[in-house]
Amino acid sequence: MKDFDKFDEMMRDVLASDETPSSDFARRVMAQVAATPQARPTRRPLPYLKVAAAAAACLVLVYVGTLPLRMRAGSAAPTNQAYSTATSDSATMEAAPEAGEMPDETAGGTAESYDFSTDNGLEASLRQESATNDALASASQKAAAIGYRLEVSTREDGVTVCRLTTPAGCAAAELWLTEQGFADDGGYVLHAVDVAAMNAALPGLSLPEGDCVLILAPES
Amino acid sequence: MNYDEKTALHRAQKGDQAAFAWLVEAYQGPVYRLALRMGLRPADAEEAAQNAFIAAWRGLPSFRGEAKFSTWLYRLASNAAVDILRREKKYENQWDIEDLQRPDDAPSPQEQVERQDTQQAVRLAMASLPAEFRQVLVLRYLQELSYQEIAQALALPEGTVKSRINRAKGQLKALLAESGNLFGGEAVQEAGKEER
Repeated sequence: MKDFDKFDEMMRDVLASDETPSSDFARRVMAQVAATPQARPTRRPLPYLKVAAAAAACLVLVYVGTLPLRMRAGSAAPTNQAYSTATSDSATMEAAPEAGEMPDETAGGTAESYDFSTDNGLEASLRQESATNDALASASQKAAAIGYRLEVSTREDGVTVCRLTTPAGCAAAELWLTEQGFADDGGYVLHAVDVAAMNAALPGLSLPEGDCVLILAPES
Repeated sequence: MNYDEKTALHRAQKGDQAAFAWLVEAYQGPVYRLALRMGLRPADAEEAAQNAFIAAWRGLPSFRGEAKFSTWLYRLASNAAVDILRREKKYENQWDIEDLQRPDDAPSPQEQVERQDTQQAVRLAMASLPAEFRQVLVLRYLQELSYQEIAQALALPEGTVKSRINRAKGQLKALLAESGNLFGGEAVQEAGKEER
């Protein structure tokens, strides 16, 4: 270490000099400056454009990342998630008949939720929406009570989106997800079995049953 | 006209050539010496310095003061010096390791002479380092910039600057040891005294 100090001193000593350029150096430089126009200032991209670009990139990632989930949702029967809180009443009214047009054989076990042969389809779907809301609110309350602040919503395409905002909760969830080999592509796409495993592995976390996209967004 | 640097810079950014001339006067020495210590011969060092000032004049309207003006100018100067080093064939392998041998003619008792010998040996050794290594050593030891300032000047991560300086010092020490100059001014001088 002492050698290095000596070395540094020596380098300063060796490189130090008082040499100067020739006496007409400044004049020559200024002659060239006089013949050289200044470049126009470059405009820096506005910060909000960067933010908008980042947000757009995130949306694309989420869209691409959830494609398999949405494809599954599309091929399965209409579930109660199709009529979400994120969907307006009028949208729900439009969506119900469309859902009703889906073949019964694809509906599987959820077909009993809807009675498409009667005029009560809309009423049934609204009941389902209410039940979904209750379940989502319950999940959020349970998680919040033990430190996992969870915001649960349902997108228009029927996918449940869980947003975890507690820093400690996010850290624990990220650790678990990484250990399980999940990658964050603007959110973690979890199937029902993964959700169940995660709920079991992280006591206190209560993601709603079923498929979901989990977004870790720690807020201090 | 008398300026302070901030005023001169501000006015030069607006195209005031007299203000820029003040900056040239103020910085011509350090910029020239930087190019010289990068291993350029005096005429080429002047060319590098001139190119740096012209680049500064052209780029001033876009200079936002995120780094110090001097740091920015040294970057331009060291880049100009590297350009010339790469362009000019005469700088390729100009120094043979034999040149680094400490003169073994009659030893002078005068410390001044010993110091000059050391300076010559180190400068020759530096001249055989890659341009990127000379660049960081000169900015560090001649301009006395911090790692952070060098990182700003060369647009490199600070960690890269540190490792580049360490590698440059390592190579320099090896060259000096190989030529019998070991390293360190005192080391060289003491070795000389022992031999006598």
